Amino acid sequence: MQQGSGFKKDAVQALQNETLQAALNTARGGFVDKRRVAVDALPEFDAIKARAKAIKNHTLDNLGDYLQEFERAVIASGGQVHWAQTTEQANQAVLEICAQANAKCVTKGKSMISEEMQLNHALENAGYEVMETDLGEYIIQLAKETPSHIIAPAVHKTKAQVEALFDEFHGAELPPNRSREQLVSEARVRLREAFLGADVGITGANFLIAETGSSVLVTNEGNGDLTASIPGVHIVTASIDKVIPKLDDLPTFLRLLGRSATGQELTAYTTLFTGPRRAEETAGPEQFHVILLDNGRSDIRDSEFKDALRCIRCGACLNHCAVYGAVGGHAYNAVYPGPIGQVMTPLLNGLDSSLETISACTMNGHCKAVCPMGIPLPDLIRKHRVAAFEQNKNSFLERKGLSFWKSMGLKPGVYRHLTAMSAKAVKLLGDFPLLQNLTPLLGSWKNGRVLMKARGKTFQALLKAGRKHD
Amino acid sequence: MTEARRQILEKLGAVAADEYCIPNTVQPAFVARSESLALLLKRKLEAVHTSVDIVGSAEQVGQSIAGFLNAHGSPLKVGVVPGVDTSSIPVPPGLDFYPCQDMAACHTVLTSAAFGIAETGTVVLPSSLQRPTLANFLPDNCIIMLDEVNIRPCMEEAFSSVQNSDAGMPRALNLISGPSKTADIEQTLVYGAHGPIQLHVIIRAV
Repeated sequence: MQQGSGFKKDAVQALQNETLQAALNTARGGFVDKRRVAVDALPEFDAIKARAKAIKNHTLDNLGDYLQEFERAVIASGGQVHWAQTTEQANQAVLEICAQANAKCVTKGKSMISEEMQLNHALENAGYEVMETDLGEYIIQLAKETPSHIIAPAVHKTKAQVEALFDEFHGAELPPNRSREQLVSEARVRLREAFLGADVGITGANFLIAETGSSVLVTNEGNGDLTASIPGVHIVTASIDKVIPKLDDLPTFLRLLGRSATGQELTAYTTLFTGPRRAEETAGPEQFHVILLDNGRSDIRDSEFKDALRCIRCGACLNHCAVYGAVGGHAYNAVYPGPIGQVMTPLLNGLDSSLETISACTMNGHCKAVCPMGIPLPDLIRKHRVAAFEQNKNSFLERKGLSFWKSMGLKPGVYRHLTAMSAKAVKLLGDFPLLQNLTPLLGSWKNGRVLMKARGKTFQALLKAGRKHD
Repeated sequence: MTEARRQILEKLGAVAADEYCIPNTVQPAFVARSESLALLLKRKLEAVHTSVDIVGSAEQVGQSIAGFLNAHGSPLKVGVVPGVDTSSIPVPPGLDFYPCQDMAACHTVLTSAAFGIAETGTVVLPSSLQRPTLANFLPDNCIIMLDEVNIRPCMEEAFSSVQNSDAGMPRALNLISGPSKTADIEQTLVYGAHGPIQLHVIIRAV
């Protein structure tokens, strides 16, 4: 299926999928509550946000220079930088490095850029054995699925589903109803083998530091470090918007990232990788490569969507989104689900396949309020909607509906009259519930909702009456 | 690749950078000395499933190690990284130190941190021949020693200490705040995803 398309159909299926709904229910509260506690405990949070935003804006304005400074620093530390305009070029660069290293087995840390590249696919097609090492990524790799959340890729899976997958792939005689600890320990044993046998390790980067040429990786599992430090070759896949100017800037971003993502002050492991092993060292990779992927970002930088490039991929907008919370990540059919995905997918894959996705926003503004980088997500989604309308991409009915709404807005008298009539109709439906069954369209709306008893008057009418009383 | 590089940079416009002037004045006030940095570090680490002892003598180092291993029912055999000199640590009966070469075969490792960060409850380990990074990730039990004088209040000061050290930026600079963990199965925390299942930090106040 074209990336970004088919939201409506998949959203309906997701809402009817009881297992998925159970998994989403488990996840929903956790992220939101943990973030709030962590943010409330740091009174300086807003000031830190403001500084991070200023740094990112400055970096984006001077992106070419900072990327070149980063490149110089990587080379000075003994590493190599590979530039790629497209995902094909990026995959090609990775494949060439693997071929030169005579690699067979590749371990991978979690990287959304590698998802963008569909790197696993490219590597497997070229005959390499690829092993995802983040537990969530490992689970969905076994299930042959894509991540449904940018920081919790298997958030849509229940424990029972994970256990069933492990039964299938871990073979052996495994007892039923194993604990989460047992499941994690099974994966640990399995992945330890992969780590020790890997020829190339590929990780993503949360940040790139121009000043030092470092690639920063945050994990809780430590899988990124085992991926990067055991094989002879370490490849970092990163997009050009990941760069920040100085090492001294990193704490500002780290203070926001962990708190916004999982409510942690800092994840268990934060590692800065700078170049290959030093001359006197006996361990660590002999080669250090950074793939710098553009994939349309240099165009986004100069567009009205520039703000989206400040994103540090914490996932807070997904966790606070009413639509994401109801349907999960897969319905978006895209690398990036949720609000940031609704902004990025049309930019990465085109507006045509994203029309249903950009409609799936209630504009409640929660995502914007929790975004640590101050990205005006609903405003950017609205810009996509405006562009879709201006380019005549909506359906006939949608256009007619919007035109009707516009004409009502321009005729307040008619609008008042019509809303007064509907207010009476809603009261009637509330007073005589049996009538609701006869009303077209109300049927599916009523699933999961109760129609409240209405007063039969519009807000404006009540306000007017109230004023007369005064 | 050079063509891709040229085109990306051309689009981004390689103009002279605007001057960088974004002062770093905002740092968490909670670090401001209501308690000692060592106590703050200890409290933060304990909150993330790490045992911490603050010791005042070399004898106590050995006792702390033995106590930690006994608490977890682990054998009293400790692999030591090249950079840690155990000759000055009086060894309690039963405890055995050995130089560790193969981290994958090591159950308990003893290594040392260059710095600590009180703000975040973090120990900082720059990789080197003396302090191999895999010691921090392969053994089930990881014991890290830290001198109290090397605890910095916030991340900025620890980074600047690393940058200004003789070795400069290492290949891998590990910031460790607790043992390995995952919440990838139903958002429920499980320790020991890949790296150490138990982390023990010994702060030497001598």
